[in-house]
Amino acid sequence: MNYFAAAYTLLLVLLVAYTIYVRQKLVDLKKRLELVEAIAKEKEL
Amino acid sequence: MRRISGFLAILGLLVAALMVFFYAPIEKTMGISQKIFYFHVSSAWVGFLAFFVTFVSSIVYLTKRTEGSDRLAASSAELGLVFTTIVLVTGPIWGKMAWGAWWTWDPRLTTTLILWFMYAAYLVLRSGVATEARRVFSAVFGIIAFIDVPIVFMSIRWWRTIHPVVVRASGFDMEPEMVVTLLVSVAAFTLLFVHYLLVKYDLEDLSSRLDELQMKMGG
Repeated sequence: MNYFAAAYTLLLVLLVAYTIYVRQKLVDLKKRLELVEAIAKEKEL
Repeated sequence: MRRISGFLAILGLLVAALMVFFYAPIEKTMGISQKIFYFHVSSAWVGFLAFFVTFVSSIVYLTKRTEGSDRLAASSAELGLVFTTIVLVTGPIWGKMAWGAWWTWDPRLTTTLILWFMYAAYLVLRSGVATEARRVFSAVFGIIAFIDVPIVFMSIRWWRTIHPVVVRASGFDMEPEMVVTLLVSVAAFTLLFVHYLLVKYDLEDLSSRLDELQMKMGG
């Protein structure tokens, strides 16, 4: 078993997984904020 | 800003990977597996840096009560945990090759594991709506938890340990090509940390705006 390949693969998997998680959360929060802002405006009207 | 930092981080990681694969010499006894060290040490450095940012931001929050410093502390703590996880994943793989065991209760390994648990607890503490009391408590916790960072760093100097000492008072204990590759790798990981920090800060900002708006609307 190549230990270097295993460590390198795990490193890449962790970094890619974290990047996807952060990006997805950012997109999700932006959408939720837009929605809540729209509801708040409607309530004011 | 985030695009520039992202581009620089990817560029830095590519250069570091190329240097690890093609420039750094292969160590005689451990062979190619020794090269795990470049990512392992770089991740450890970024972990320490991230917890230091949390430590300083927590002090700033307790003295000035600025929301920005609280967000910075939270963002950096999560990143510190991510990079310490990388340390705890790559370390045992290297250890299996070098020591023949995935894990030993060595002072360096044990103090690093404690560090991971402390910042995991910090993030659990912060989850949910960020009230003033929770922010203050997190800041105090962020300062206390940082005490473990110098202990982790000094553990291989204070106690008898099987963990290698790379940085000595006299300098680096390895080939010059290895030192250059390590420094490039550390720089690349630092750039990645800066990029992630900018993204995480924006995320915390959005999250707190959403919480405020929802509270105003009554839930």
